[in-house]
Amino acid sequence: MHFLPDTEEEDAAAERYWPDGFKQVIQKEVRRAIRAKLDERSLRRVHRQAYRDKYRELSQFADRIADMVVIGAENGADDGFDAVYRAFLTESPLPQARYYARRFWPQIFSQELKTRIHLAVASDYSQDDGLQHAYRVGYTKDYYNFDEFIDAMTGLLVTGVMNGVDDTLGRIYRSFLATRALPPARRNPRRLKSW
Amino acid sequence: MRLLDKVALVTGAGRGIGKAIALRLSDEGAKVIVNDLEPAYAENVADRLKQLGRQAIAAKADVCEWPEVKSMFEQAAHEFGRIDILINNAGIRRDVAFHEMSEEDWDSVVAVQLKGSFNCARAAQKYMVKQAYGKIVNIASPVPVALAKQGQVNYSAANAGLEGFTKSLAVELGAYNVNVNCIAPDFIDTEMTRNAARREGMYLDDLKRFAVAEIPLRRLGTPGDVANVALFLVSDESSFISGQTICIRGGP
Repeated sequence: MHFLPDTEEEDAAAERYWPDGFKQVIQKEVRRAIRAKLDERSLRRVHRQAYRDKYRELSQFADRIADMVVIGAENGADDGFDAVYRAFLTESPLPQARYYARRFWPQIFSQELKTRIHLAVASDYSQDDGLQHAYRVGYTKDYYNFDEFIDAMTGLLVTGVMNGVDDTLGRIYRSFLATRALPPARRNPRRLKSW
Repeated sequence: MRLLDKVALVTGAGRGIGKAIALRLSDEGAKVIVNDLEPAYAENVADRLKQLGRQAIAAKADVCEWPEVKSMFEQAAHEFGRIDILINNAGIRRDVAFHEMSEEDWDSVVAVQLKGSFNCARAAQKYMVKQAYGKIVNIASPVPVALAKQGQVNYSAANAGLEGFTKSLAVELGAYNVNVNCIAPDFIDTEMTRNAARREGMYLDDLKRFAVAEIPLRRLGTPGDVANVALFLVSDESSFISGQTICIRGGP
């Protein structure tokens, strides 16, 4: 039926969430990386042409873009998790990671940054009882041990983070090209643990 | 060598897409007539091909002027004995808001794109029909079909006309074993892209960075990408394709 622990008997008021402490690392590290690479020279003309009314200073405009990208990164991690969750629900193998073959400027994912995010995600997830249950019930044949399972899952989330950054940059650039308002950037709600 | 001993005339071949096509066809064994309005550009390309041991001549002619076009084709036929391939690549842009568009802005774009293609096809078909073999490829733009942009009423009209020209000509010349097709490239990194960036008030690097967000394959095209499709359309591998427009823009 599914690989998740039954929670039907649990108190509905005692809400628990899937781990997301790693998002603080994304908020800090991805933001730092993108802000450092947002070349203000590139944004200056665009800002002057179409965004000066809303963002008086170029630095405010660049900050807003960086904030949007961070939200995109976090939501991308959620997309990665959602794909894993669907696998649990349908008792399927973990999905394949889908990397974009080409990434938009600026490219911020150094090996170091990817590793930091990977470690943060792995650290959160390896302590989660729901994932331990899913592994025991559904994935012992596919993964040698729980750590390997978490590593595979973490890879999917990191890919999600990277693709999320790209998707957000793409939406922003399409707004630039059409000289229209920046697209909305809204964080996903937290993922409630439920079955 | 898919085009061994074939003779190809490429208009506007001094730079950009035209140059890439001329070089590509030559790579596959074609003898190439390199036409351009600027003799220095045409000679530059022809000389480069000769240095590689290939057969090529430069031909200055304004494609809008029938006497010059006729003379160019006569010269080419005299030099190489036949004309197998015509690439109508010459084209210009005069982007300006419609209410400010002058008669000259309209006439010049339509003249090069449409009249020029008409003149060259008219000259080429004489040889091709006699040979019972020919390949004509018109280089247009996806603008009128898919993209309609501001400031390009003249360009749009000319390119839409070129697509219609392609289809009708394919019908008329098919019986003589002459294929007529159209390539519509967009987002190609050429001198025209640089001019487009200037018009948009952007640095070229910035235009390249942002424009790729509109392209599913996430990169700008190269003149080589266009040349590869041109090669396919003038080779015998595409002998049952005629009257078609192939868009090259990294996406639908």
